[in-house]
Amino acid sequence: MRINNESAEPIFQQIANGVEDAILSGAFPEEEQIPSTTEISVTYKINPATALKGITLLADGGILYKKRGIGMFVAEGARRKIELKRREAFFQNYILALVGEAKNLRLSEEDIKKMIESGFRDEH
Amino acid sequence: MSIELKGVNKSYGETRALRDVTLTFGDNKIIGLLGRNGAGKTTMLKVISGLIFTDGGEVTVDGERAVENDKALGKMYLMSEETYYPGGMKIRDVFKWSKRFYPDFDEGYAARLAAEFGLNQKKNVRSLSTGYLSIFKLIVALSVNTPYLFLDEPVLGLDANHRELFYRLLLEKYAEKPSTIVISTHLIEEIAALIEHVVIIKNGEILRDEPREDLLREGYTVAGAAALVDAYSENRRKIGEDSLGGLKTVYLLGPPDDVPAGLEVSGLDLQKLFIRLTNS
Amino acid sequence: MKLKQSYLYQLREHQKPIIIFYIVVMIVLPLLLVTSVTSYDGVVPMIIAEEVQGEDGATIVYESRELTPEELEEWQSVQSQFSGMDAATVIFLFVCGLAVFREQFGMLSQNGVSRKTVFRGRIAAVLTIAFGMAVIDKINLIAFKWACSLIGEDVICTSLFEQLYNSETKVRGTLTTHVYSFIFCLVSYLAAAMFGYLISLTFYRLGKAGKISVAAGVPALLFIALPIVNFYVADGKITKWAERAFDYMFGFTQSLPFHAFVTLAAMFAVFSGLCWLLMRRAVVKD
Repeated sequence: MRINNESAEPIFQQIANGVEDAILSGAFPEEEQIPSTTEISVTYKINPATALKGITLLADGGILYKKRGIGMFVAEGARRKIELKRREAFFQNYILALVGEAKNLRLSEEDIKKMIESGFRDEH
Repeated sequence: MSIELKGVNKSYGETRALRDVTLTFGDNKIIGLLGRNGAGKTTMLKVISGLIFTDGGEVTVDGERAVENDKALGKMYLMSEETYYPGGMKIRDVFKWSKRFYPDFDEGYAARLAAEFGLNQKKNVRSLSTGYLSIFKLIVALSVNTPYLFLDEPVLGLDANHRELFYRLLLEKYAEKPSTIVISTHLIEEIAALIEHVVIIKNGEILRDEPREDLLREGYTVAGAAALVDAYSENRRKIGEDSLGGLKTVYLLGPPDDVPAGLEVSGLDLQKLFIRLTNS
Repeated sequence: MKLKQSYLYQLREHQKPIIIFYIVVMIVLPLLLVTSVTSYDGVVPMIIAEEVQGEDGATIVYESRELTPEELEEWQSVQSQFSGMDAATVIFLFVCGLAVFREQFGMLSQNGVSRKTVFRGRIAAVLTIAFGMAVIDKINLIAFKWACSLIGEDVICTSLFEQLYNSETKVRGTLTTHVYSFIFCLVSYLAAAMFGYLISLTFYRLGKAGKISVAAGVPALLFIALPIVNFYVADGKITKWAERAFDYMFGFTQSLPFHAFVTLAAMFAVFSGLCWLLMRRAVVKD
């Protein structure tokens, strides 16, 4: 996770996204504790209130929950929730950008489809 | 609980260093006081801490007038570029006296910080290099535990390692026990993410006084082919631009709306926004 | 409480200089005593010039003779007299007052102390120091007198007070003299300490032009302008008046030490008042 000061996205949003990324990748497993807002703010040199805002956003969305006196934990089913949420945004964030760049490079639809197939094969 | 400035004026001969400044510092936030050289940042901080007098207006601390008020003055600490500690005093003794004047001063913490920064407590104030003078004053500021803390160019003369250490310590401390901290600096990039609230001062006047996120939402950047960019920005409030041949980047105020595909939109970082706003 | 700390800090900062001062005094005094006793080794002047009226009223003849025992004693006492040790303390406190203002003002202001509390702490500290040093000096004097008495009657040790008000001393008893001399020390120490502080504060507040004007102007006024005016215009009246005023204020010729006590105490009050006026709008400088 990197904090980008120039991004159009506010920092607290970047924090929320970064935590979601970590949940998706398995770095923050479900029912396990995540780093405290203090740790996050110190590591990324951001204001603790900002870090808290990002965490609270996820808590409000049911991704995280608070154990009184201990800290924030990843909620059960959080991963699934994030997947579903991001699938909706996937088209917007990735597909359209891909198509736009493809047009820049003058790649055809067929070229892209072949590339995608090859990409999946490589993964295995 | 806050420190308020109401209509504060200060002139040095012909120059008006502060013009009708009205501000509030409080709510246990980290606030950035940004301004160019000579904009009035240090003057403002000195007026608040009673080192100099105003030519009009008043400063109140938690409702009480701050002038010549021991109780009000005891609630704040100013770490300034100038050093008011006696040159012949040992660091150890400075800590000792700080404890006497500021009962919440944490001597154990100060000692730990001195060790962490590599500061020898047996040295005299006047024997310190510029960097270590800053470090020494920083340590006092971090240990003093007053409800209001003012840091004037805190990292001046500090190497990169020490700067990083300082930010870490500041955030840890703030996270553990929030207080109102005002950081006055030119190094905007470094503290941009640390601060929650921004005050921009220009030629003695307050230009902006708002939460950082609100301020950043004020503007955006559009970049791409020059012709496209110009077309887009024609009727919009432009605060600056950069050109590189056929590529152009413009800085606009307002919410990003209807940006055509082919143009790249991004946010405005605090330093760029500051530069655009304070160039005259 | 800020006032207490302001007082303690200002007091504490004097500790080292005072200790050094007394160490020097303790070393120098016995040294002086020893050297004078050893140097005065029974060498007695044999000749004295004296003016004598001749029988016809017109002739002046110089005779020489040996000193009478009384004259001898007086001469010896002039040779070996240790008096006015307290003058050293007066000068010391004046210099301290001169030296401490800037640094202590800066330190206290950095620590959130109002000017009012700085000033009050200063007064309290000065009172403590003046009283303490007056006590120590009195003890020193008594000890020294005792040491002197062991060596011989011809050695005289007196305080400044005793030196200035000699006749008064002879009239009153020893206890009263001690009490008066203690009070005299106390008020002169107070006045000296605040005088130094006042001068320091004055220069602190003055701008560059002001500093030069005062540094050059005051001596010029006192040592050039005044004597000239005195001589040519006032026909010496200014000096005469000054002498009389001075005498009245301190009660020298009439041997009224109470005048001095009042004058010195008033000086302390006036200097302190001026210090406050200057301090209350003083800007804190590097």
